[in-house]
Amino acid sequence: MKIGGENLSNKWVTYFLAFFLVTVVAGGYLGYKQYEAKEQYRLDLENQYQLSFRELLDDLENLEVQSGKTLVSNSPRQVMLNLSDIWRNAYAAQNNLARLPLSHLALSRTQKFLTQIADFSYSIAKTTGPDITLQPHQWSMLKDLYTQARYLSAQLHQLEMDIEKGQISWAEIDNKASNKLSKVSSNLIHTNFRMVEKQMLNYPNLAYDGPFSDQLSYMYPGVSGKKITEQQAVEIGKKYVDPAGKLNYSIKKIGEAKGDLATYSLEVQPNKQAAYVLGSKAQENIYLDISKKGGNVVWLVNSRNIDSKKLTFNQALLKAKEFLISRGYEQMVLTSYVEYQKSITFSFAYKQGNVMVYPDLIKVKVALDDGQIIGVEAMRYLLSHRERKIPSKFISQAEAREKLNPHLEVEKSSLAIIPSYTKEEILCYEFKVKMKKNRFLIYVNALNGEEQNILRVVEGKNLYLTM
Amino acid sequence: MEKEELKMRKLAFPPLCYILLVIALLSVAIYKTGGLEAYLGNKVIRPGDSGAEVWQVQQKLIGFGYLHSSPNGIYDKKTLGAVKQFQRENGLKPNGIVDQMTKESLGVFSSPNDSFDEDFSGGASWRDDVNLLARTINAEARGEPYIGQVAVGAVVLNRTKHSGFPKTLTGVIYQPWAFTAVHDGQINMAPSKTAYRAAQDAIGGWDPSSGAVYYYNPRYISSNWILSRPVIKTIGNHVFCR
Repeated sequence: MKIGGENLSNKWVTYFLAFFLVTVVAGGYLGYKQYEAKEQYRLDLENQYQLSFRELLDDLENLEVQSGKTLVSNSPRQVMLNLSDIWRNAYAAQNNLARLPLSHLALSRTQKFLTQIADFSYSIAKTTGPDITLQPHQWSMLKDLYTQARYLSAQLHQLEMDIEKGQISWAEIDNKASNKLSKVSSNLIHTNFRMVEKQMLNYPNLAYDGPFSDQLSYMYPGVSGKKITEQQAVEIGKKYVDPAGKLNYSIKKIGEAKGDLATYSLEVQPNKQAAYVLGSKAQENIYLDISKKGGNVVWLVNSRNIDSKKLTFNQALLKAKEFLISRGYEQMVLTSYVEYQKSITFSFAYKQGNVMVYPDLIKVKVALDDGQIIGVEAMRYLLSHRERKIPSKFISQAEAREKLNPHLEVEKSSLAIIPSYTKEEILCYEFKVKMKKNRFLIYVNALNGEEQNILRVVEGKNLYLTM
Repeated sequence: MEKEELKMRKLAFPPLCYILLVIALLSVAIYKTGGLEAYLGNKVIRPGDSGAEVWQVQQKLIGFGYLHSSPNGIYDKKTLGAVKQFQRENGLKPNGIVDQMTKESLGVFSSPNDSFDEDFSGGASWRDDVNLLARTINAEARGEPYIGQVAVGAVVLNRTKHSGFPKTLTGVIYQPWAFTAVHDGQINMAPSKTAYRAAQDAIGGWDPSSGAVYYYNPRYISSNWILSRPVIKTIGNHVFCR
């Protein structure tokens, strides 16, 4: 036994050691491979950040130079070309800025500045064309922007030099589980950007004609009317969801929204026995928001599952139309639709006389198993619906048609009111045209005959949209 | 008796060791050559087969210029020639058998949610937008009520129209540190059907957040500045702010 014991224990130990060694070596090898791979990824990431940062610097420099040139130029054509360049550089700068690993706080004012200078340049270049001369107020706004651009460019160049000297890596900032060195780098970069932000806040806000200008906060001509109470909102909800008052469900307020479009949020819960809410046996909660001012339904959502497809397109459309009429939305005309997951979402616009008013938009979603209305989106309609004053003098349809590109085949035409780039409304002739296999909608300004906008029609098996 | 026991023990131990070693090596080998799926029944397509996958393969071959006829869902002689040529030019074994590697080289992937393909026809960029938004909603708001999911989608879209954020959907979603679920990779999960539906509704214009551009879960706040934003409303676990 003794001799046997020793032999056996030696063998145990040897084999165990051998196995252990193999495991350790294999582990070590795998670990090293992982480390190599990680280092490569970190390098690739660092390169990406460097690319974005350096491109940002280039864009800013170009922006600064172009702004300066625009200010000193006296040639309208040159001004227009420069403005296009400024727009392009500001847009690219914004893209690159948004790719850096910095928190939104450090960046938002700078982002806003870049958005506005791009927007501002674009809006001027768009409005008058080759005969542009900068108005005095536009010139002085551009000068302000130029000053800001110079400041921003200088700051970031300084940062670049610090980064070079301190051998700071962007990828390290991203790694939050960091050691002291990367904490320092992170601090340096963040501090610089925060300082830029603070400085930019001191510049006055911009007021001009563009979608991102400061004065254009939401305008709500449509949301007027008396303020309603919670109880009244519940009554309105009841009538909307069950006009005949025969159904079996409970409805209550579950929340409120504050701000410009203050609403009551309601929940409709069908009770267990035979609840035909909005025309269906399906038992599922319905949610809707009702505006506090005026008591209008802003949106309605029913997220129940739809298992089968029994209705045709036309049957569903009929349901949608009936719904709109029954709830008091009159003269709504179908403009587009999308089908997905056994339901169709129809978009309707208001028609005033013979003019399509596109800003007054409502969407109705119909379930294709039983035709229940499972979605209503009426915010746009609410915000802008009113009777418009149609100008009495405008060009004839024939005149407008002459302005079109001669290569087109016109299929249909009508009058329409559309929103402009600056959110004003414009009366236009809408021409539905075909070129090769694509359809387009061309809008010709009815007052001055200029091409106002072009939309491409996207048609598919299940959808009809414009973009 | 004892000697025999000892002998048996001597013999039993080393084989055990070897068995473990063999198992370890085998797992590594399987892992390196594509995992168990490669061996357990991901369908391989052979000449004579027919079906939706054949159709997809044909579409891809047509797109790349290898096949010059309309897709018919049947793996016929013409298709065989195209497949072989593709394999030859891409370093694959030119045997006409469309295995996993050939499929993936062509760009044919079997997705768990095949039914969604039928929903998207035409409007390519719109379809990509819905996909991306669905992934984001799935990543950020999986357990939230449906309204909450649509609201999250609406916040993303609202940001594209806000001066302080990027102008494109991609730019907003992939802005570093903007969304925690993008930062930690959850966005790469395949989205659920509900998330797709919520994305469709958000893109369709539904905005239960009433114009919000920020939201947070009060239980997981990483920095206090977000608490200073004016609150619009609360849906589920998320507080939506301006």
